[in-house]
Amino acid sequence: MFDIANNAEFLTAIGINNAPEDVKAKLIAGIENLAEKKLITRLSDIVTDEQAEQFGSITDEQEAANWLNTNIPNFQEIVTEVLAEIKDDIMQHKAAVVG
Amino acid sequence: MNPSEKISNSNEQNSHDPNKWDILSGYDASKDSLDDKLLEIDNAARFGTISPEKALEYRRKAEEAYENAKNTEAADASSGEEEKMAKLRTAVEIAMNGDSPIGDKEKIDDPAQRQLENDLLNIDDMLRSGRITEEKAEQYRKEVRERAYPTETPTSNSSLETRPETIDKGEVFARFQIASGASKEAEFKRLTGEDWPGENYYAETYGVDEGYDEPIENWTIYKRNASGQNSKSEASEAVDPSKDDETPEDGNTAENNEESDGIDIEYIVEPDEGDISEAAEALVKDTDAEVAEASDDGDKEATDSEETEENGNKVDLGEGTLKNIEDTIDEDKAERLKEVEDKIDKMLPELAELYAKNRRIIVGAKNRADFIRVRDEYAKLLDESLKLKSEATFNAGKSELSGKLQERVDELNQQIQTQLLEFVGGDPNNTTKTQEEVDAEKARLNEEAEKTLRAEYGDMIKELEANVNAEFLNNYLEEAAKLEDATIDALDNGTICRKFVNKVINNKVLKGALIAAAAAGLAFTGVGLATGIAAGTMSVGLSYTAGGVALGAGKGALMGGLMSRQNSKNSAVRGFVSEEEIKAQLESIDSQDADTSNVANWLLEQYSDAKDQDLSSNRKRTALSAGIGAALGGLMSGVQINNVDTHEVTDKVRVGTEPDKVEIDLYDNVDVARGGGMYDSFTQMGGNPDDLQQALDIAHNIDAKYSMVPGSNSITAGYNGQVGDFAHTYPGPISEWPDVAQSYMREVAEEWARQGLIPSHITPGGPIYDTITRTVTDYVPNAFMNFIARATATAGAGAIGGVIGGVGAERSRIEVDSPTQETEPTTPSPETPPQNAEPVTPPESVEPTSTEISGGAINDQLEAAKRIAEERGINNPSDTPESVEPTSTEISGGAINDQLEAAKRIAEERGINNPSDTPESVEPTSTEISGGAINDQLEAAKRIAEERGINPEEAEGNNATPETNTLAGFIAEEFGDRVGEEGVRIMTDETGINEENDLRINDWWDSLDEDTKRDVLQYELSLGNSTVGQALRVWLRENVAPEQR
Repeated sequence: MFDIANNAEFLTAIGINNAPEDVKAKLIAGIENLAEKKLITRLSDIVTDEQAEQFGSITDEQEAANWLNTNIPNFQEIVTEVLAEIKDDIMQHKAAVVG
Repeated sequence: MNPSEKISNSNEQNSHDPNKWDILSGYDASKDSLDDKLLEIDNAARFGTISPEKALEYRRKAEEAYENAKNTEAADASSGEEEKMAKLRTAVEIAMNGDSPIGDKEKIDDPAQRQLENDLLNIDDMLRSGRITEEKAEQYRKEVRERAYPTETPTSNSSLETRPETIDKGEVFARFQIASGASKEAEFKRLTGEDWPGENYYAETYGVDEGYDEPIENWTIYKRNASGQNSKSEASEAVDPSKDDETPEDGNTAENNEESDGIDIEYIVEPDEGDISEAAEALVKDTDAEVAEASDDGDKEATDSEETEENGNKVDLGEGTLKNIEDTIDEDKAERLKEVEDKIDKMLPELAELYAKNRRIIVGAKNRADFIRVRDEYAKLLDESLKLKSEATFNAGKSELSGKLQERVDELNQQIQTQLLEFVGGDPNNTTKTQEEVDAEKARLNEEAEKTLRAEYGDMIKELEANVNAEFLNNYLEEAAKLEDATIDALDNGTICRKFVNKVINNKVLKGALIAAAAAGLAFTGVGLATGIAAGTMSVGLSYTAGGVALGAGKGALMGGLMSRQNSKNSAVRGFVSEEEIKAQLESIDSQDADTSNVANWLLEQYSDAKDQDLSSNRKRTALSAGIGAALGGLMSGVQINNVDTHEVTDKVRVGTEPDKVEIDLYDNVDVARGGGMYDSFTQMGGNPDDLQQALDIAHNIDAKYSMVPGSNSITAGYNGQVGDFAHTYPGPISEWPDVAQSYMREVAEEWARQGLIPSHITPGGPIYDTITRTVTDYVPNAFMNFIARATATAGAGAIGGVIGGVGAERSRIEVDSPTQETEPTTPSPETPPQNAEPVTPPESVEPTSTEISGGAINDQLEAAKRIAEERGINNPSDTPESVEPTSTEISGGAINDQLEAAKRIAEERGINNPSDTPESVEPTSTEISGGAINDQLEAAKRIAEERGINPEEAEGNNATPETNTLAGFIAEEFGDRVGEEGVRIMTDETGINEENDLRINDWWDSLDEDTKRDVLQYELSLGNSTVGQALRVWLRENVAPEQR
């Protein structure tokens, strides 16, 4: 999911790349959970009523994934942005907290 | 160690004959320090060299000597204190020797008092050795006092006078300490032969020593009188002077006579006793030597060092002096954390609601203002909460760490002692080493031990910090997820946002698809998390990508990104991209020639300088670094740099051969110059290169407003994000966007202008502003709005920092060769016609523009309209409206005509036909909009103004009162009775919506009756957007549902 676990730079940036595996896994799960929510709400701003109905009626995961890539302009960029947003937000709060 | 061993030691200690060896020998209270002497006594007692009773005696004697010395002149004074002291001394003597000069043995030889004194001694000892805090010591003192004398808390001086009957628990039989893992019951049985809690013996604890890794309990066993008598008689018996073997000096007391009292068995029961036993013995031995040395009479026979050689040096090893280096813990913050968390909890729903409202285009200025305010406040509180939690985590970890640390301090001190002992050949009293040598060795050992300790402490702290970081992230993620959930909850049912979320959030298939698509996308595109995550990075990368600069673009972007992150204000960020890394990246770039690297190195120096600036210059640093990054990107990405030592790379960037001659104007850097990423990106969107700086300037202002505050990235959920979303959704020029999106863009532009984010040349009245807000078809707004939109959409507001960084925040104020507010609007240039140009009739003679909708402006418009009408010959009553065009949204004669038509209709509907107010010549046939009618209206308006003493030429807009403003006058006439003066002001207020106005209008609107509300709405709608004041116009749009309107 989001492949965060394999993104060493992301993990390094937020300071957990060298954390114990169990700690890292827990935090990655937290990040992915947040990313998932943000992605959904971001998309909710973009889709039209019609699209929402279309997407909502799809019952096959692969088909739904294809639909997203086809019907949401710059879907991949949005995903990237969501992760970037999370990371930036973490860094900003960290800056404020750590100084 | 087992009890018998200890007893043996005790016997050895008790072999000290106070008649021969007196720790007070030579003590001159008038010269020597009482504290030092007391410490010495305590240490001797602590290590079992002398019994507690003996220590007490010595203490009292030392104090007495001190008192005597201090009060020589008042020696014979019979003060209460002296009496007390005398009694105390006597009591002590009796307690120690069983001799009562006053013949009241029962009273004086109180075992409870004795126990109390001993307990107090132990507590003092624990305190002095740093194993408990002063607070704990005081608490223990109270406990032991209370236990000794439950009804009172006697002090050592007054206890004898107020002492109650002794407690029926018998005499002290033994004392022991028990560590975690050991059984006090087992130890009790071993000592007494009885099962816990025992019949003939009674045990009680007198405090916990927390100076160890595990707390150690202190226990005292009392031997009850077999006949059930209280301890009085037994105590008397115990202090019977005839029983010499019961005195502490006697060596056979405990071991041989279990019936006797006060057996001093003091040791620590550990699960594994062996090492401790040896260590304790070593310590006893050391301290024996120390105490012996302290004894001025030099009676070595009193010590147990039988091997003493007459000719050996005597040295003082002293104690290990390594100090704990831990910091204190600030515990006061817990309360504040709770306070902050409470605030956050309360604020969360509000913020979530605002987030929800700020999705899609339903957002209005009111919501945005609230949103920004609450969001920023929330961000601050969240930061504080995270900080307090992090500190708490750190302190908790550090507190735990401090236990370990103290343990190590003790170990190392003991190690030092052992090493010193070895150094002196095993016997400090008989060594070839001099005191100087011992001191030097001790200092060396101490230093080494401290190094060891610091290294170990460093590792512990590092581990602790990693834990704190993980905890911080965990806390952050929890809070962020909470906000996201709350935002979803706050989305109104029925909205598309909510519908979509509902469809997905609980649908495993769709959620799975979402994640799968996301993951697949990331894997497939390799989307630059590595190069595009940090604010600034993305935008720099984007600009090159968008610019289509192929060669070296990635490297340029990478460099920009590295520099941006490296120079972030976040120290943590600085930490993960090292300068070395940047240099390594530089070296890996197959640059066109070595000179390019020189330039890059120089840039690095600049960066380095900037990095050293203080926090207040963060923006500068960030911008500078991003600028440098951009410049590097430009250098690396194909701007024609074949020979950097001779020429200007572009018109804007000059690079010399020597680092100090390199000039890069961060305002006019390569990125903006031809070939630069921004340049290409901008021009490819149809922008005129001359307008690029204007676009960037706007971005800069927006950035200054939003990207430098905590939580600014969240603006992506606000209208900046919306702009970006539109840009994604509608790739074409803004003029081709759906109306609703175009309307949103206009609103954004207005909002930015209101907040002063847009430079003066595009503020209301400025040509660009007007063009945007009126037609949205000029190439300029298309280009720059697209540009901003894409930059924003790509990396959020933070990215604008990078975009702007590319330009450089330190550039001088842009000099725009554009008309001022008084200047007439520009028209699209002939070379670059509007992409979606509609036939527009320029309002040549209308001044100023429609965006200044004030009374004065209206008046001006009316005048202009009149003139236009005259010019077009529509002064004939028979003229029909068909001849007037275009529509009302354009500021033209047609628009004015439309407005006048509406005004006329309203006047008609409201029966404003009073001869004094309306021109007699106006025929209230509303469907006929004739030039004559307009003329008449204008004449009537003028006349009304004159009658009311209003000079239209002097009337000024925003805060004009009805008396000085034609529009206000008209509104006052129309609505004054119903909306009041406040209503008139509001209806003519041109200052735009802001928090103050929002509240004013809210209150005012609520006070209106439904009919008036309807009339106001009708009035506002009937005349289009330029009738009522801007503030009300915006407010109505945001707060009144379309169907109501």
